[in-house]
Amino acid sequence: MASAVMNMTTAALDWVSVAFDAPLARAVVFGVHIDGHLVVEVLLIAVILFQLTRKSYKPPKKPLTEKEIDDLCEEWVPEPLHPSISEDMKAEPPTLESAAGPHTIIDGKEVVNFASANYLGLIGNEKIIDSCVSSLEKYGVGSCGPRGFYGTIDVHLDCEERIAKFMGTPDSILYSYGISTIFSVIPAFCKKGDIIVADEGVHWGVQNGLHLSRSTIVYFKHNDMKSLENTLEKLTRGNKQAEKIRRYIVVEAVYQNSGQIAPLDEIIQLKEKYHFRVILDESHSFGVLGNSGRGLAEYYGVPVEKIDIITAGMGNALATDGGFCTGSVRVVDHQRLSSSGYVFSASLPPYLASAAISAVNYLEGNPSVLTSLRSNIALLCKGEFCDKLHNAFAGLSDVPGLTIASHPLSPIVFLKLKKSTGSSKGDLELLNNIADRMLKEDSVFIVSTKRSVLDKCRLPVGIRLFVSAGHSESDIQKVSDSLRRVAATTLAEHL
Amino acid sequence: MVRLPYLTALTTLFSYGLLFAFGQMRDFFRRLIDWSKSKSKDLKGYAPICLGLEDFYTRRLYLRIQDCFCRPIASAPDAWFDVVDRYSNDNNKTLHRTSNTTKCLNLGSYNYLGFAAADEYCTPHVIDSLKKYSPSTCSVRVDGGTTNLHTELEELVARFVGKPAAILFGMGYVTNSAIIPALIGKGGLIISDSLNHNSIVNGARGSGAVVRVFQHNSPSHLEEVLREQIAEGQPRTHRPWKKIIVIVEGIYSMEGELCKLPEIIAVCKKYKAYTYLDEAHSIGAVGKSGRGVCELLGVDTADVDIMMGTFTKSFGSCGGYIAASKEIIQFLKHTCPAHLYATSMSPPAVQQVISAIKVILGEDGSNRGAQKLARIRENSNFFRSELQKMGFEVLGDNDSPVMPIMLYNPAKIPAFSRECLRQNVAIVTVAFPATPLLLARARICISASHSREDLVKGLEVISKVGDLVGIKYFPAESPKLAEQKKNLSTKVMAFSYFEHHPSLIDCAYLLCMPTENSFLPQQVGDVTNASSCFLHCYSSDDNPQLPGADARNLDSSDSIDIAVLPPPSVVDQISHTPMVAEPNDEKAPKQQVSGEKKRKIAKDQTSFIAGRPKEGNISKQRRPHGGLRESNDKNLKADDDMKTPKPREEIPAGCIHVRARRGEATDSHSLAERVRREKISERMKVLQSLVPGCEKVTGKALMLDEIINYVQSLQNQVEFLSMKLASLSPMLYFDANSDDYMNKAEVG
Repeated sequence: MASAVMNMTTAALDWVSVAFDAPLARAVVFGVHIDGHLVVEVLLIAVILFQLTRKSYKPPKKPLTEKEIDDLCEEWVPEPLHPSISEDMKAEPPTLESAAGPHTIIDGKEVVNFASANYLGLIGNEKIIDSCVSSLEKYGVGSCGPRGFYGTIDVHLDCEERIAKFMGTPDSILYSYGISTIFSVIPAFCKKGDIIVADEGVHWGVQNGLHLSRSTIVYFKHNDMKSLENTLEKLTRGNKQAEKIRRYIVVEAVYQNSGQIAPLDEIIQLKEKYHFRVILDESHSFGVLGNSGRGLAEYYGVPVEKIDIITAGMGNALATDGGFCTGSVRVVDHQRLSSSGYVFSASLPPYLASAAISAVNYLEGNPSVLTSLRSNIALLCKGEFCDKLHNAFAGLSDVPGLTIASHPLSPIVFLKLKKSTGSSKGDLELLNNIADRMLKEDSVFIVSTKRSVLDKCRLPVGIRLFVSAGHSESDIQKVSDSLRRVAATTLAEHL
Repeated sequence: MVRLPYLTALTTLFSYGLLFAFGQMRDFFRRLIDWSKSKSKDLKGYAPICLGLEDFYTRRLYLRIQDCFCRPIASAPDAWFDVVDRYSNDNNKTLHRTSNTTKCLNLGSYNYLGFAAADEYCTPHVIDSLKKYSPSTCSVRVDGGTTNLHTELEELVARFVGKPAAILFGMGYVTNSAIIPALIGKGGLIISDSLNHNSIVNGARGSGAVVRVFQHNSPSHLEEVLREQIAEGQPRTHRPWKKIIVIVEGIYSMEGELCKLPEIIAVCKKYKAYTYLDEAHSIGAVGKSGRGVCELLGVDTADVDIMMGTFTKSFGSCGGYIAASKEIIQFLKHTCPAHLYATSMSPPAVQQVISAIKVILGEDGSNRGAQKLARIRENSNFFRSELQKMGFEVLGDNDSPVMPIMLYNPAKIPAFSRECLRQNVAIVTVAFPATPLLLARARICISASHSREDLVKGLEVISKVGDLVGIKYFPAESPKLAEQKKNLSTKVMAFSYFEHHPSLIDCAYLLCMPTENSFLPQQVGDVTNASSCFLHCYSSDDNPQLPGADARNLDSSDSIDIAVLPPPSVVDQISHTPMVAEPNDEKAPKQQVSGEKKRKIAKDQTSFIAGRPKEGNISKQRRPHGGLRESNDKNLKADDDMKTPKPREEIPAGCIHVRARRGEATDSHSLAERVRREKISERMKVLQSLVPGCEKVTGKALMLDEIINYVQSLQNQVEFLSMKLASLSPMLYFDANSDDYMNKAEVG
């Protein structure tokens, strides 16, 4: 049986091959014998090619008719441009009727001001105002143009030189607004595909910059060096590609969301170990930390060249406006054509640049102002015997229901609730209550942290006190007494 | 939009190719040298700050002409300023300041109203507030950064722009880039003009919403995009969009163009999209009382949902504002990060804006504000028309104080800028990052502080340098033509003696009218001529609703067709130039020709009525819609000039289109098209009421026939009258000097 089948198959095969071979058996084209399987192969190829040229089957598409589109457009209902306005949105901040110095006037009443980051007490400084006046008379108010198009005024260049000289860096670049500095600098250096490791407590300006850069962003735990190291390790270990892409660590010197100070020495060690560059925002430490106010690097005794990019807003210690970025010549020059906030925005009003120059001059000439700032911070945090005859004055270390969360040297004294209500909205309500009552009852102006819904920072909210060198001991005593009294009554049921 | 001639495009591309090739060569040798040197150990393990070609443009192209940008100045950016001299020892790689300065005419700063320099009203107030409030509050608005000045300015701005409430920011750039994320987020759609400013682009990118772009200043393409997007919904999920915001600018800073706001608003309203208008360059600079494009184009501010502007330009300060409904402002004050986290605007800068707005509104007790506004309009229109007469390719619309002059070739950028500076005129040249690579340009910003002599000096220098550099892409107006026009005007002056006799005046007008029209068939040409002069007879007195505002509206949608038409005398010369010819009618579908013709008639009518007051310069006819706006304000004053004829508009045989027609859809679904048609039929109705017996006829063609007949009969009458007049006083005819004539007439 089997052999019969075999025979039949061979016969069939023979027949087929004969059938193929027969007509072309002796055909030789260019030395190639044309035989049966070649014919079959050619046929197959032809069929494949034919199939390939055919379009793949797609269900027929029916585009929307004009009528349907009209209907869709008719039906579509947009959301309103803004959500419904709740009562708390209507709250207006207090309006100042005089300069925002250590004492200011609100509603015709003189109040002690702990809401302005006037760390060096330069608001109202005669010398600075004089330099502004002469600048105003010479240059007018605005610069009427971006830096590229005749908006560069010689005071801008002087100010850049002055800041670079003060910081001990080769060059610096001025921005026209504090918050735009950092969110222009980050996208200028970081592009898609780069890696940025950032602290989770950074403020909105940094967050926006990170978002605009489109880089890969990895957050580490707020001010936690172990977490930073783990993150860096994870990112670089076994990653051969990492050498070829740019890597940055973004931190703030003094976090405005918590009053913590970044441990720069450890960060520098980690950065060198893992070959990351550091972008440091010194908005609240420039002119505050370090023996001569040169910022975080001086405070930790780290050479300033080790930090690749330093940015700072000048709206705090220097009591002017705008911001700057400083670093190597290459870093600065790169920004002059690729930083959008620099290229596409009108330059800093010249009088503010003059104010910045005189403020830096003042700081260099009067380092004692830093001593009084530090003693004020210490006084407010810890309390002291202010003199031997009077009572001991306790500072803020034992305010009922609140605890100091900031670094002892931070000019932002940050108090958070010992026991959170569970939601940051509830917390904020309590804290706002305290601030309002202090302003109304004791004429002490302090503020709580406000959070925009766009802010991704999840650190706890709290009360912020901006200490100034211009505050007197009695001011500090007043705020601490008032806070203790109001906190005790307001947080009574909460405790 | 610019239509680049092929030859120029070719040479420009070639230049850039050459620069690129040399740059690559230099990079190659630089790498060789670097390689031979030992690498510094510090940088090992770090990727370079700039990878590959990222900074190639800066290193190899920008640095070579670095001295044309970022020129420092040592005085206020007023009409004249001191430019600091710089020198370089290393082929422009680094520049060093010297203590020498050169006094230059400032045609670069955005000092539109001249508030940049010390001002008799503003500066004392600013200094007072500086002494009272110090330069900064060192705090954010929601904490301790709100002073009396801030609240005062917020109210003042709201009142000035015509919105219920406003909010301030310390920087214009931040205003855009921080407000857009607060208004819209995931699930929203932003439709942005393709030439919007970088701050808007960054704001849109930061918001997380989907961004779509529509062709620059094209309402019909906007409509197309809106329809498509609403029909499709969000990508992938196809859920409907949460909201759609359309973002446009009032004046485009690199183009000098005015936004087609009325049409865009109409489209947005139809599709329920919100509008966001950035008036950075237009607020204070345009409009009768300086209130920006809304005032200029007759748009109700209530129709614009969010109005943004800056204080940097017209007000000579810094910062920006958002004006909108009370609820939106309340919401923004609660949400916007720049309000919550950024240092508040510097109080003296706030005071500067307050004082400047008070001057503009005349609340300082003088009329300096009105003078400044009149001055800037006069200055800009004078400068623009002179530039166009000289043959420069000037972009933008009339009334806009920004006027870019096209340079194209990269070598012309430094040549133009340096040569102008050498002759003490400071001009901004703009190249690649701010404009497309091929469309380099020089940009002139006119200020109210420029005197006529300043402008004349500037024009002289620009013309001289323009000849030298070779950027007069259009032929200049020939002296012969100018002479001819002068003669014409004197002749007509003679006729104005008979002002009380309208038909006499018009016969002069009629006789000078060319009746040939190369594009339109003879008859249509006749109709155009006839109807337009017919309209002229009636428009000024009998029919007040016709000219002015309506004509302007009609025009802004139609302007594209007219805008490309230079007058015949120019065409003749252009055809000899080596530029690429492109017939205008090529793109118009054949079957629409008849419709096109009708529209053309209507257009010609309006443009004639309005264009006439400006007959004195030929450039106005090239861009008549600017002239229209002009005429609106000057209707009365222009009455005397009204009688001068102007050369017929003609379809160019061989010239470059200044504006592209692409995207100007003529399909009936386009809302802009519909608006246009409505306006045409409106005009037809006016015509109908003017011509006796016309209302009995139905159908446009028949109606037009009727009108043609009527006009022809009028024409005959006029001819007859003029013959009569000629026989009466032959010396009137056209070689009479006006003074001579006046004398003789009196003697007679």
